[in-house]
Amino acid sequence: MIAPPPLEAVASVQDLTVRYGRFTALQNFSVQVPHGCVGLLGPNGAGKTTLIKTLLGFVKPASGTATIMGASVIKEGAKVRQRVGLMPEQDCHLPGMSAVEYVAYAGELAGMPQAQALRRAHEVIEYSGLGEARYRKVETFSTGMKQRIKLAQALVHGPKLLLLDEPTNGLDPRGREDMLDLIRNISHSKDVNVIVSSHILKDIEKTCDTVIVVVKGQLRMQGSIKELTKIQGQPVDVELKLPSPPWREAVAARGIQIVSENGPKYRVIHEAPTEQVTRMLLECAKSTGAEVRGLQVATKSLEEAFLEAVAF
Amino acid sequence: MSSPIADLTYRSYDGPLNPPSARWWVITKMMTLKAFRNRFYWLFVALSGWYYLVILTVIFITELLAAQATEQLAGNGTAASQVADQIQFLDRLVWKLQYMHGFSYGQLIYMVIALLVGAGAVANDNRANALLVYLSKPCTRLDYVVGKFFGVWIPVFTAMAVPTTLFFLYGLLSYRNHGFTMYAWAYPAALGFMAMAATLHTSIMLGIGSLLKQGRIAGILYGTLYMITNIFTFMILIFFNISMGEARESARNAGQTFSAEAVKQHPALQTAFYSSIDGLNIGLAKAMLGVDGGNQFGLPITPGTFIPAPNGFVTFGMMAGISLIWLLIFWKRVRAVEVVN
Repeated sequence: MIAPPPLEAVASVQDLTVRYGRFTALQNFSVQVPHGCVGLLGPNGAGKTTLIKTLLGFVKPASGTATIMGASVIKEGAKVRQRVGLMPEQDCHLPGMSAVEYVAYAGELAGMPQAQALRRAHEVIEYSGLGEARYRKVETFSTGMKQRIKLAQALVHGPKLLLLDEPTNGLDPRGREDMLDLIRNISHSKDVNVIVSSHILKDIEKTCDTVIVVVKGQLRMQGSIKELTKIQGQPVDVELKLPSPPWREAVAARGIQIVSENGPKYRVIHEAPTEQVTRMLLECAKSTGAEVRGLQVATKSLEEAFLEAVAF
Repeated sequence: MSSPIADLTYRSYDGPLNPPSARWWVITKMMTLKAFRNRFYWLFVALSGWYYLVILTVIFITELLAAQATEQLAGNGTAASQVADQIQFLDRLVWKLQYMHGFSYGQLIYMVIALLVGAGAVANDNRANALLVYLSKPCTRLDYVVGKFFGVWIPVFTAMAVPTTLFFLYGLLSYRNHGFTMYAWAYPAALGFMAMAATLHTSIMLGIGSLLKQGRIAGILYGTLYMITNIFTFMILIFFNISMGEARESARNAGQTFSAEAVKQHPALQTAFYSSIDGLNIGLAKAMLGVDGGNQFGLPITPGTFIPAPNGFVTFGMMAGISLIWLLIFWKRVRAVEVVN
């Protein structure tokens, strides 16, 4: 299932083929990365890493083109990296530096004037929740703090696109929630486009609007999470206070098919538009005296959608 | 860390960004400032100039004594002779040789400074995955290599140049009457061979560092390489001295005067003597200054006690070649990095 490309793309990849010796990591790969927060999903060895490497200009493709905000990653690598921030999966810091020195230095490397870089370093460190540790050496940081400082160094120069690689790696549940909040805040309130590569589908579901699924070096699926988790035929989930045979009969009499039943929970399906089906279900409840506790369009989880895509 | 997000008033940066070129200077500047802020660095810089300090002290005392003797013992024949000797000491000084000795006696300390500044420059980056930070910014491999190179080279060169410059300025102001200005050209020449020596130290240090992930191990390896080659040179010197002793003895037995030419009968020894990091540095210094050695601390020049200068072009070529090889190793080790395991 491949959705049509959106009109405006933050990154565009056309017929990209990347080889490592005889091994082909990406084969005629094309994708339009939309604005907003995009999840990059795929099994191990699918080509996600190679895609990120290529977007950063680390890997030279055998053929094809890739652009980020109109700049070619092959011909204008430095320009592209000035607009992009990378938060790598691995621990990475500059030894012997305090948090603020490290982030300011990263800003200078990106092209910021020294004074601006220092001022901005204080801002992003504060934003990342490391305000009290700004003068501590980065090597003394805990895993969670190191994750945050990686995000701060990626953000310091105000990139238009952030590449986050396993951003919640090694974080405790609270730290993970904080990090996801931070990512969501960056992508939804600060006008920064984000690509999150993660194996944790719940993280993607919580932060991203769109996902790109890569399998065996090819684009397998792309679209908004809303669309991808939709179930064909648009069934509706109904939860009653108690199981109600009269309500069941009334529903069946209206031609609504009960697909599954689990105590007071029913999944029903009908050809009519969702609004009309909902109205019919409520009318049945009213006429039979059944008390409706919940009513919603049934969706599958992102995990189910992902497994379907991978198995396809 | 599980503290709440402290500040959500973040704004996107919309300030100026310099064009994505010449990022090497940012790296060099950071490393140089870091070295210059280290008080141990300046301690070693001061120590590296110990020869100049000693020779200037000797000259100062000699001048003082000569002045006192002239005033107090005017008309006394013995005192006049002492004064004459002291003045002769000053005139005996070959100023260009003092640059060579100042450089030569500081060698070990220059190596320590190279370790202090360069041992962790790349090795620690390897350990901390710092390349990911550098290469994900508009910073190329070339920027990284050049930036690191000059980040080590500038502090090492400064350590060599500062004592020499002070000696030069002091000499220029104080010893013009004793032939100092005649050898003023030796100062830029000294800066030249110091630049090359700093290049050699820096290249080897960075090359070794690029192969490792621990700055300390890189430092130990470089120190070991330096010491082993130096021990070899020292052994050659002992062998040379024995050989010269025999030559001197033969000359005496034959009723002849020992000639400095005898020294040049041992080209293999000469080559071997300069086959170390120190040897190359000192060899180039000798070749560029056009000196063979001797006259350290103002002592009279005695033939056969020092090994003549090597061929300057060959020495320069050797140093350039070795530096290039280690820089190539460094360059090869800076690879496009893994983004995801």
